[in-house]
Amino acid sequence: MMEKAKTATLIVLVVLSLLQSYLLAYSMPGLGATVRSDQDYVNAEPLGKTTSVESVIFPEELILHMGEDKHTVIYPGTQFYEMILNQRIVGREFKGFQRSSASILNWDEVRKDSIGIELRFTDGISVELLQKLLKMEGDILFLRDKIDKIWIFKTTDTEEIRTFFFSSEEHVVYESVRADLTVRDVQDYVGFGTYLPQYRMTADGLYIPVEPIMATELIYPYETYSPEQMQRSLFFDSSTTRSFEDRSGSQIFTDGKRGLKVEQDGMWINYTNPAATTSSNTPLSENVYASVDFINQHGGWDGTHRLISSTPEQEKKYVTFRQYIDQYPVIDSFAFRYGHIRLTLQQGVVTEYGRSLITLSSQTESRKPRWLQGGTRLEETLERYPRRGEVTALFPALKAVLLEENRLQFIPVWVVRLTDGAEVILLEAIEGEQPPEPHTEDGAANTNSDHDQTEHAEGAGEPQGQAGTGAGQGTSPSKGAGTGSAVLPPKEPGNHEEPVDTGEPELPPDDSDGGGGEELAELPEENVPDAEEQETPELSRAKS
Amino acid sequence: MDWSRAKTVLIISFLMLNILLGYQLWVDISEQLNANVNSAELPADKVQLMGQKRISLAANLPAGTPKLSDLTYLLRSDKRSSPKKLEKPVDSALIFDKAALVKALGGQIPDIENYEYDLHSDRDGVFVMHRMVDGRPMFNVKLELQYTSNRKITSFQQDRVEEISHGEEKQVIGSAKVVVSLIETYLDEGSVIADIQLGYHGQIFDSEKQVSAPTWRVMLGDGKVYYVHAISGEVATEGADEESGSESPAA
Repeated sequence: MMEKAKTATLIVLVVLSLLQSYLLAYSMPGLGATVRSDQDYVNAEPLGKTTSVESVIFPEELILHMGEDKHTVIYPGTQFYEMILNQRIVGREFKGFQRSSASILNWDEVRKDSIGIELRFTDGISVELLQKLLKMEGDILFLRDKIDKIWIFKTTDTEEIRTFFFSSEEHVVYESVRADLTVRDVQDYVGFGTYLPQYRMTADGLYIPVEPIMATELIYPYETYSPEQMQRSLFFDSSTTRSFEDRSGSQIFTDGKRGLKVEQDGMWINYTNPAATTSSNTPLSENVYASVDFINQHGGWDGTHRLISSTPEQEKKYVTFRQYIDQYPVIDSFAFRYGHIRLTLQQGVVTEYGRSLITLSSQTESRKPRWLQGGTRLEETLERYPRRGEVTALFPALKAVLLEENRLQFIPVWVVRLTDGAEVILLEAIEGEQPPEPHTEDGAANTNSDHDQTEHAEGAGEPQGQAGTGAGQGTSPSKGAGTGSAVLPPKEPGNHEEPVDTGEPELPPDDSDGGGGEELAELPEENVPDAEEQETPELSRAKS
Repeated sequence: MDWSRAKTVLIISFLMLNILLGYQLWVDISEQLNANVNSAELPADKVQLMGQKRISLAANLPAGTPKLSDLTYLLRSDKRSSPKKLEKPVDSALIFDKAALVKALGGQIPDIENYEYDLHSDRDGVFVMHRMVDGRPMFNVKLELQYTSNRKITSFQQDRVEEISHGEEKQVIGSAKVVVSLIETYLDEGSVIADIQLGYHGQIFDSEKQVSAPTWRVMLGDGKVYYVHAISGEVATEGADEESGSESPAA
């Protein structure tokens, strides 16, 4: 009897333990609420190319001062820009910053008489971000400041190099007393200027080319992302996303919190995702990092972009990147938005995102030479401009024009930036194979007029004679080298006081690819023709 | 072999195993019950964190995690036009008595029976009522009653909705979870949580059709509002929302 009871108890206990184990292992299905988390975020397909913060930070222009009040301006993406900035200056170290008043030197005299180079960042860039480009070591006061220009020059009387970082705050400069730049370096940089068009400075500090400079009108075929691709990339769960049209006919996607507005016939999107501010303070540069990451994940980058600086208040909220094609920034109009990516952030969280859905093809459909006006023609137009007093900068850019059959045209233009930040097109470049104002004083340079490309030939230029005399300005358009700052054929260097023994200064091999290597690689192939590559060694040989 | 003794040993060991498993199971179940049914309780460590940040909770945490769906509807707002005058101003005390208010204004304001007064959204000289759907407010859809210093409601501005359709139902997260996430990351020291309510909220676009998702609205004592998406748990503030709302039509 006792044994039977024991057996029964044992069986009950075994069954019970099995049952409990089962319940534990499957933890009472049906009881738990499913909580969705950020991990549900399926990133369907990566769109576009990714980039890094390093490759969106570079100076807007380099200005070479060659002494005797001769200057030249070099734009990003050109061969000389690469050679000076990414192959040379980027490898240098700047240390020992001393803060002082800007009035310690007469900058007008320095500009006129001393050879040197200026790196310009319009509206300034925070030192923290600049460290992505240059190697700098400084105290906390310096690291928190913003820099709008770096000036490296050789003093006239002594053989000494001085390096100044200009703070965006007026009248404050920092001198880097331990910068590893030598007199030879600066002469090296300035030597490149010999091959470039000359500029003169107006009374208020704008640089105007003495002669017209060559630029190229480009036509690119393009593709667009479909709104659905963007939707998949930006929303949690496309099954809960509703789509409808708003009063202006734009398509809208929303899941109740996020909104995606597709405008301009599917070529521009505006994404909004309201977020809450957190109580913690994030550094300003955090916004830039967050923006780059966000764009990498949602749409990517079409070509080279540059971080546009802004005022400190704006910097807390907005981050803007401007697209560069060849060497010029793209200017859009209100009617056709293109060429920039703008994000609104709250302490590192993207709340708004506006960008184009257009991806340009890697090859141009056609290239046509144009001439950006120089000299008196440009100066007169500038003087006649009604808001002349408000002009803070003058620069060449490309105006984007939408053509039929999915093509975009880029027309070189002169653009003025006004004190309120507005950018206005001043002049459109003149069509034609030859420069429009052919009154060059020296006919020394050869003309290279053996055009091998015929597709541009029909471009009826302004009535002008003297074919080829403008070649002091640049090579023939057919070479395709450097579409803007035209490149002279190498000639004997005449203005070097002391001979330079070996051409190339030693460079740390790895540092230069952070900023420049990629940019160059991302430019359309046509842009880096063989002609240029062959010229590089020639130039350095010419210097030695 | 002593079979009887072996059985005794087995019984004792299985008994111990059962006790162990039973305890585990009980802990698991009680945890899950806490998380879901009894969500009005904050975990002890969060209460401690609240103490450290001097955050106080002046509202009851609503219990329950109902299944709610997002709403698609047509919005007709007269936000851009000026307020409409009431033909017969009514006493402002009526706002606290829904039946009397509906009776007094029913002929003048369409659909007023579908709106519910929200004490926490009041501004100076304005009573705010929200459109209710299945007993829950739509925070974007308001009926604003303006009253004068002599306690008369004189004019109104109304957002009207039509053709409300429901999407797929999903279980919302509990109010305690919402409060915990706010306490951990968003709330400043010394904040007072004045109200927490489940309703619908969404970005308003320049279109007739609008979408609102289930949302917890958490109001602070100083008037700051957090909207927490009741399914994904994402947080937005009132200010950010209004800004984007006003910018998109302009763009």
